[in-house]
Amino acid sequence: MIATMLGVMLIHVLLGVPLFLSLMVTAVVGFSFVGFDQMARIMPQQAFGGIDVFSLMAIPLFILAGNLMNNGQMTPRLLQFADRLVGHLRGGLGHVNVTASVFFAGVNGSAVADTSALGTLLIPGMRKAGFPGTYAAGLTAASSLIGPIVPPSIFMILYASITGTSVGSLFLGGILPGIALGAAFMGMNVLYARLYKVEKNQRRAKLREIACAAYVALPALIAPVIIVAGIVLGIVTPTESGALTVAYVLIWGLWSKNLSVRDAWVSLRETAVLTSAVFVIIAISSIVSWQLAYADAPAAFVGLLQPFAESPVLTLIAISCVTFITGMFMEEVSALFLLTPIILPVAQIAGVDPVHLGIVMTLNITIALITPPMGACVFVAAAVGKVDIARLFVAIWPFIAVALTVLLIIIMVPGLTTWLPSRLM
Amino acid sequence: MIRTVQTWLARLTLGVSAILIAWVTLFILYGVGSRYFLGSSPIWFDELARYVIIGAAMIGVGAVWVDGGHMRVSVLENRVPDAIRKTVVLYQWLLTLTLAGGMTWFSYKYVGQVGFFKTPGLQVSRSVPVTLMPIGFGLLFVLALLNGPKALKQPKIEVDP
Repeated sequence: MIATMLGVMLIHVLLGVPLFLSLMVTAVVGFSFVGFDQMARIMPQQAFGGIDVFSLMAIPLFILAGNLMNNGQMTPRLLQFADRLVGHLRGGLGHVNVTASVFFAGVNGSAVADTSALGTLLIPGMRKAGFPGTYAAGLTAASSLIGPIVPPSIFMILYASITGTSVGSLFLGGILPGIALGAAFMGMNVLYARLYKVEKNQRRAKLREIACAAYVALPALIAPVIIVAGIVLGIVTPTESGALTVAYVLIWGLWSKNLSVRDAWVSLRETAVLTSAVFVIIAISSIVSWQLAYADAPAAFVGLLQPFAESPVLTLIAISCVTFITGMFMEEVSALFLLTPIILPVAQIAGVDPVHLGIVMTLNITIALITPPMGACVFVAAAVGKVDIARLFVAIWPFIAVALTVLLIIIMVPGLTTWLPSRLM
Repeated sequence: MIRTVQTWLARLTLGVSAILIAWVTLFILYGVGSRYFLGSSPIWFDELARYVIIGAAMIGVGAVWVDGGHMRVSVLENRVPDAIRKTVVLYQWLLTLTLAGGMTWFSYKYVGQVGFFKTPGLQVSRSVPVTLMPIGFGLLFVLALLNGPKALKQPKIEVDP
């Protein structure tokens, strides 16, 4: 049953059918095993139940906050601050790219938005500096993976809604892995800058210049602080934190004249588009998820991973292999929605901390954004960087290897994800 | 004429969806304010906000389809001969109509089945929020029908100026 459903899904995805419709066909095929008599009742019931979840409400609000920030000309300010901090190093623009992604991550949890915004501004500059276009586009796509790891993260909210894990703990748990991922890509950039013989092309900024750039970028830099502090201190729920961030960005943007009413309306429309696109995938994924549960897929999966159950590390590595391969062929939201209920019991048996599992799952799903054949960030980076997509999919593998190495380190050192939540929550 | 109707219906529904998101943001902020400044907020606040978000998401499904905003992979579609491409596009359209039409009918029937239940917060019939499902999929069906068997728009890549 599962193999047939996966095959139908894959064929429709490759035919260019929108993913929620591909999932819907898969669900219809799934009912040929479950019983067509149940289809008329189960489909709307599960679809509505899938999106009638309180914690999902935070998603449109964080998307709106990110869109308002983007349309409020925040990206160039963050970029300037990153440039002052690390632009003087060898391969400076590559470091700026990664550092800006870390800052951008605190503003907008979307890796695709990060790739689009930073890629447009940085890939041409990196080419001029001596980096090949494929490397520049690859680094832009890869460093954008930090976005969904550092709070706020839409994937983490989704994971929390499925497992009941605290969003605040997940947000805190993502901070160190996000920084580790950034450091790994910067280390890689040091090596590649030497390989491509990219020279230093600017002087080190004075402390005053860094402070000035920080002051200009401050409104964006304190947004993640508002988000995390509000949730961690128990002042607001994640949803309320999203609404407060929207209010903060809107008031600041209108007051400083960086945002017009028209920009705010455009941001709202963009948010409506993304909200519909994400929620309908969640709704239809819930039907498929129900079918998988009906087919006892979680139990089968537990049986499959039974040999690893003694060791949390081996269990997480096995889970990561499954998630990585699934993520390559499936859209991220639906993959997370379908896999988490199956994987959670296995991880619980192995004694894996739910926050640790959440970060590992989020990072796995996020890496899928740069893997062929469906890596959304690679498509965007190729488009904005004017790079051949086939060549970029070849050039992206070293970045995938680095991201997987960081994932492995996170799996082996759970403290990276659990230390901050245990201290602050 | 058909094109104009489709464009305006898509704009209208996406506009309604955007307004609902703006409204729910203000509503949640009011909830936070009333909890801290008035001491409490009504128990139905969260529930109403949740249904409004679901409404915003469902009402926009059709417009997002017209706009090419639903996530999809179009690599293969762009690399096959024209004749195959036309067949694929026709299949995509027929599939969309069938699935949207089917889901509209199923969810319409489901609205009737849950009419006796009441929501815990608002104490209204559960049919009320569930009606958002047939509305959303119905709009998708109508907008897809008006679109005809034309190629779906390519996903947009937003580029900063």
